[in-house]
Amino acid sequence: MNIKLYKPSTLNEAVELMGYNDGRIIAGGTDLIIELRNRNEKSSYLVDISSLSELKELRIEKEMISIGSAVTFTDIIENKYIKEKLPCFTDMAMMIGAVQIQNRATIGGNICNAAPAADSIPLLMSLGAKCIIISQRGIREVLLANFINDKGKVRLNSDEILKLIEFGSLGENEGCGFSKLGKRNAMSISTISCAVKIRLDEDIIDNICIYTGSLGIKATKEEKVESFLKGVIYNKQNIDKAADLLSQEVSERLGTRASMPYKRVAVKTVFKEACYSAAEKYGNDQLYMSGGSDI
Amino acid sequence: MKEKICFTLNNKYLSIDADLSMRLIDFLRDELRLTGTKEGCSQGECGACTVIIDGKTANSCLVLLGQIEGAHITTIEGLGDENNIHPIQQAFIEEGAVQCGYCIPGMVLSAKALLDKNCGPDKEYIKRAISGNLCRCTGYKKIEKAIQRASEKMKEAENDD
Repeated sequence: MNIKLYKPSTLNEAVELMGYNDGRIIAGGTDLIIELRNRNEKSSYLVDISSLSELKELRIEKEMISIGSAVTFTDIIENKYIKEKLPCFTDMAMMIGAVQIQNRATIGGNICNAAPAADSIPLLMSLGAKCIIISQRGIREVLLANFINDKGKVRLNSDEILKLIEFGSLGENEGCGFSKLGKRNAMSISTISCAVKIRLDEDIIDNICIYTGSLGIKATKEEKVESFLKGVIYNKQNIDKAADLLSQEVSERLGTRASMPYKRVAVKTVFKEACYSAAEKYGNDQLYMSGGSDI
Repeated sequence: MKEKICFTLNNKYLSIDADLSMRLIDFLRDELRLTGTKEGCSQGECGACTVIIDGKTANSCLVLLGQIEGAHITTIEGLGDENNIHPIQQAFIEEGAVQCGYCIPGMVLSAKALLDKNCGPDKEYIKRAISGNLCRCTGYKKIEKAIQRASEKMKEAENDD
């Protein structure tokens, strides 16, 4: 492609290289290489960060999980702690592309590429993830929800590198779920995705955070549905009502788009799946007692 | 703009001057004439260009040559040939898992990466391992059976040793 490719051996070196004009970071390259070949992306040089050990750390501490931006989806799938404590994260990673893509694609790339259908973004947003960004000017933090600007756009200056993503571990009474609807099981770009983080106090929904993906230019916080569910009893009737409310929201948001009649119906099941999976560890007994789950 | 790069290809150490922004598939096919690696979709969806990089499968259309510095690469040419056939290739022949053959190098390498890690995979593992490899003529059943058969062959060979 006749473009200069730098392979820095330390993060400091990479940061220095990004200090010059017009460089572009390449990590897994699973999106960027296609763009470069289509000539949609013009940069005078590339800085390959895919093998920088500082960016490949996946640190799990008692209260905080931090994932280096060059951690691949396979690294996430193979992490035993994540599989045990945050199975929705493993599930999400396993739904991205197929094995070849999971082996190369990175979490930082999925975020910075900022596709409306990116699978990791709604889930990380529901977990309240923060981005840690590094440049020669220092380090700054920004909430992922504020980092994604638009379709394909993030608030990252040309000299900056996304270093890691961090979020709090789930508390005792918290759960998180992710669900994705695609056209097939593998190699599937999501048609709708939904992530739910829930905190229950006995059977009352103490707090809930809902993000949907592929229903707008970027992942969307479903605030109306959240405020409907906050403080109510976690049962089938309320989740069904919330799903209807979300459906209404989606039909208004998508307006005259051709996919609206399909998505407004399909989103209900995707949302319910994410909800039930988030509350799974408490058992969904109350759901089945009150008429059974219809997902 | 050529620069030096070193890596191991099919167990041979290479140190060469090349354009590092070239895609790995182009380097393999056009420079080294290793045409066993096929190009299908050019966007990481069909898996025809699958190679193994440090034990993990990758689409060689989505890797730049400069990204494999120091890595160990296996292409289909590194598995076996007519005189010294690999058990996975033998199993594909025995099960009739090959029709046009275009997807087969990628399929065989995905199978190899799986069997190197898991010598007795169940059907679900096999299906997941080849989920990024499209086949448009044989269908997947015979390929799944071939991988199952290969795993049995490889286990037997290990027990004989």
